[in-house]
Order: sequence, then C-alpha cells, then structure tokens
Amino acid sequence: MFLRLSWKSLLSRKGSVLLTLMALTVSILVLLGVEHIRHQSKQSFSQTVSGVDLIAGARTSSVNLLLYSVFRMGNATNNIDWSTYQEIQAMPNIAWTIPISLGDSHKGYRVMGTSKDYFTHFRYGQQQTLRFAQGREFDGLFDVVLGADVARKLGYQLRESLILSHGIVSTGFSDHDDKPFTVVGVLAPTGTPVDQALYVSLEGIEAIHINWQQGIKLPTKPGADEHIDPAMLVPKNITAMMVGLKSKMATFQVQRAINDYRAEPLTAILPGVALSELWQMMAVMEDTLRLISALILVASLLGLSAMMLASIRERQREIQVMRLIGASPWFLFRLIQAEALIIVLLAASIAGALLSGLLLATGSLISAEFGLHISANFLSSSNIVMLTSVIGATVVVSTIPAISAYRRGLRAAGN
Amino acid sequence: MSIVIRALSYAYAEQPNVPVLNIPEWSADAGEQVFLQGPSGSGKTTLINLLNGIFPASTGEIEICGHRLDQMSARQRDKFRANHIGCVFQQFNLVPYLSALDNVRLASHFASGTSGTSGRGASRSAEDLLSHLNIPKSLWHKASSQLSVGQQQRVAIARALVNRPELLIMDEPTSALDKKNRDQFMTLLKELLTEQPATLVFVSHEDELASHFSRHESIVEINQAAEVA
Repeated sequence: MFLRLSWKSLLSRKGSVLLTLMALTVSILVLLGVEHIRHQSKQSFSQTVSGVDLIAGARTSSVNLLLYSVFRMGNATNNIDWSTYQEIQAMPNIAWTIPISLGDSHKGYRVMGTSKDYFTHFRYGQQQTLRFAQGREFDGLFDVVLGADVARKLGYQLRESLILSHGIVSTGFSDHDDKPFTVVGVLAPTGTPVDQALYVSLEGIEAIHINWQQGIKLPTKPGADEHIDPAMLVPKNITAMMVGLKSKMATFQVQRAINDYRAEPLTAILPGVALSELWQMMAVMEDTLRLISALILVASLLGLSAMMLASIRERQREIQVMRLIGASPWFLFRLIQAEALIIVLLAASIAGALLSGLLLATGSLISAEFGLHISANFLSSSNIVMLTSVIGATVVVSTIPAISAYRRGLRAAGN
Repeated sequence: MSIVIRALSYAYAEQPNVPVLNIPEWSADAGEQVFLQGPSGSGKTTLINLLNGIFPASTGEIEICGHRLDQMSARQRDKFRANHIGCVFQQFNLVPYLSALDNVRLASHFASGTSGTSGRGASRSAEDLLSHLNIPKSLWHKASSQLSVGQQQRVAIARALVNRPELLIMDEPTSALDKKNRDQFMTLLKELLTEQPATLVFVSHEDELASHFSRHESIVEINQAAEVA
C-alpha cells in the first residue's frame, strides 16, 4: 500500500516528475559513463604491456622511455650500442630480450625493427601473446608484419608491397623507395599501441639504410643493391630493449646492473611502475571529470528536492486527509523520501540501460577510432559505489521536502 | 461513556496564556448521536481536533472509550485515531489521486498492525462498504478527484467506517451538497449506524438536520474560554 501510494502520487504529477526524472537520468548517465570509461581506459592502459620485466634504453626519464618504447610517442634521447644489447642479453638471470629499433615510418605509422622474439615473448593484457590474423612472422629481409589498425586503415592485403619513409613524417624526399617491403603477416587486434605499428627485422632496417648517411640518401649506381653484403646487415645500434627475466626476484638486481652499466649511460624501468607514473600525470584531468559529473548530479538532486518541496504546498489537503485517517507525521516524511527514491532508482535504471545500449552501439567505433576496448558491462565495483552514494545523496537531499511534509503534518488540522 | 471531558483547555503554542477552548465538564454516552451547533470562531474546529487527537490537550482530561487521549504520545494518538475514530469533513476528505477503493483501503492500512488497541474486530471489506453506499462498481477504480462531490462524501463515510470505529466525528459533512445528495447522505448514514452502532458527533449549522438527532448541543454553551479570557 505504501509503494502504491507513492507511485500513484508520482503519477498524479506526471509533468514535473517526468522532467526531473529526465534531468536525473542524464546526470546519472554522465556520472556512470565518465566513471566507466575512466576505469576501462585505465585498465586498458595498464595492460598495454605485461610479462615484460624491464625496459632499457639510453639514459632518460622513465616516462619518456616508456612513451617511446611502448607507446611509440616522442623520440629517444640516444641509441644503445649493439654490443651493449648483446652484453645485457648475456647477463645471468636474463631469459629473453627483444630489441626495438625505431626511426622509420609508413604513412604516419611507426616502423619498429625487432627480432622474431617479439612475437614469441611480448605480452599484453592478461599475459596474452601476439596472434596473427593472417600470414606469419617476417622471415626475409624485406618482409613486413602489420599491426591490426595499420592493415585495416590502409587496406593492405598479404603480399602487397609498401615503401617505408625515413623519419616520422612522410615528406616524399626521404622514402626508401629503392627497397620495397612485402606484407607477410597481419597481427590480430590487441587494443594497444601494437596495432598502430609495422614490424620488420633489424636486418631489414639496416638494409634500407645502406648508402644513407646522417639521414640523407646518397646517390647510388642502379643495381648496386643487388648484392648486399651480409656483414653490413649487423645492426650498429638499437633504440631500446625489452627484457624478460628467469626469476622476478632478480628484477631490482638486473635493473641496477643496467643502470650502472659502464660503457654507456642507460636507464632500466619496470613497465608497471612507469605506466602508473604516467597515469598519475593524467590524474588531475581524471579528477576534474569526476568532479564535474558529481556536480551535475548534485545539481539535479537539488532540482529533485526543489520540485518535491514545491509539491508539498499543493499537497496540503492530502496531508490533512492522511493525518485524519491516522498517518503519523513520520509516515509523511517517509512517503516523500520514498517518492524521491523511486524517481532516482528509475533514473538510475534508465541511465544504466541507456549506457549499456550506447556502449554496445558505439563499442566497435570506439575501439576502431581510439584502440580502446570498452565493455558494455558498466557495473564495476567503483560504479556500484557511485550508485550507492547517489542513493545516499538522495536520502540526504530529500530530507528537506520530507521535513517540510513532516512539519505540515504536525500542524495539519481539520478544515 | 464514550466521550468524557474534564477541565479541558487548549491554547495555541504562540499564545499559551489565551486558551481558545475551555470545557469544565462534558460527556456523551456510547452510541449517542449528538448534533453540535456553533458559529465559526467558537472553538468548534479546536474541539474536533482535540477529540480526534490531532491536537494535544494543553491541560485537563479527554477520554475516548475509556482511553485517555491526554496521556498518550503523538504517535499513540495517531494510531488510536486510525483504529477508533472516523472523521468526515465538509470536503477534501479523500487523497485525490487514489481510487475510491484505495482511499478506503488506505484507512484500513493505517489501522492494521496495531497491538492491543485495535478496534472492534476485523475491519469491514472496502468493497462491501462501497456497494452499501451506492457507489457504482464502475467508479471504484477511478481517481477520487473524478467523482462528484456527493459521491466523494459517500466514499468518505465508507472510509470513516471501514475500521468499525467507536466514535464518528462529522464536521459540516453535508454543507457542500445539494438537497437531494444531502438527504441521501443522511439516510445512508442512519442506515449504517443502525447496522454498525457508533457514537456520533455531528457538527453543522443546518438547523433542518437537527431533527435527525436526539441530543442537541451548542458549542458556545460548552466552551467557557471567552469568560476565562
């Protein structure tokens, strides 16, 4: 009877209730949406790389090293000598290493020179290995493997040939057009920066730079490339390296060994630590978004309270009637709170349904545009906390009209 | 005795020294039907609100069916009113957005769940009462605001009687009705009271209704507040 009474009461004031409901739905949608996307991007971000124990590069800040080695953003301060790579590889406790050689690009996508170990040892997400959607690893000198986004956006098929450019922007003057590469494999999508790059062997990188000095192509006699001396294909230096250890216990020991390396100044970082450092830099942005969505919610809850308070005056007669048949003022207090809660619970359900629908509808678009996989299940623990505090805030805010009803109930007398 | 009042006085909280009502002694027997007359400003509304327990007595005793209202808490008075007293006022007796049936059921909802102080047995069925009061079945589920004034007042009787109260308080219940509806109202009320006896305090300024009642009282004579002031 109590719920029936509050429900009928709300129905009798459809207009204002509906508008309040809409305002609340929008603000709860914003709140849940922001929180969900924040949570998902953080998760997706922190899973960009996993299973790699250390990343080493020329001495620089950990965030910078992470940015260029994993996200392929910005540039390395310096390179590592190939002999250094080999010496680190030979250190005890080291299980595997992946060389990273950056500096070339293809139509705006970075090209990474590496070894086949990349496809075997690199892990992302929950310890997932890279998988091939089509084709296989690079084998020949001029074989290239494409990240999922590169293949999709540029529409490359297996066995198509493409030309790499020197540097990160394609100017047309510095193309390696004398040595085209052939697509031999396309990686399955990972939702990480892996999708945004092309992969060639270190030898391939060396081969296209034969006859280049200081980033300038030297004029060559036609046909001179036909006989490439294998000795010339040994890399001279690389940009960074990923390291896998035999035992996690050795992490700090190896990190110190690399940091103290005598031949050249190096930095070794723990990817997980650097990732959270990087995420911390975005914390202000994150907090601002949360604050704004919380304020929007507070505004619409106050709107709800104002609407209810205004309705109390026109409900004077009704309050009298209920008092007359034995309702206590406390009953009226609870009635008003129940009405506010019904509106908020309805708004939360509608917002939840809308959010799920929106995420389902735009999920593929978001993952295509931003490489971000957002699950449609928004009921994360943080969102459950959010919803609970929304309900708590409703109880608090609706005490204002509820007290007004209580007081009117106390004074309500006969005609 | 159904109503016993001794040295009862009531003053508004804003003016505690100026009682608006002061009744040295007044009582009504169980089943008695009292016709109470009084001009507005004579303390009529105050007396009604003291009898049904909405106002607490400032001083003195007020006893309904052997229960001392002046010794109860506000909560207890609310519960007592739900179980033992039925009220019908001039108009706006119903929750406008609830159906006729739900209005009657709401009254039994407030009466239920009490311990010890429940009324005389189980409450009557709302459907039974509504058909007794000539409310067509087609109107039972309509919002009460859509009913005519005459129909609303009859639903109000049903609501007042649903918990089989010992005391029925009516304040100008027929003033908003035309003659035809008023006569129908009185006939139905008398019928129901024979079937389900209760003490009735009927406040009205309509002298022609006085003939329906055995005992006539004037509030001006009962209330001595003016002399005190």
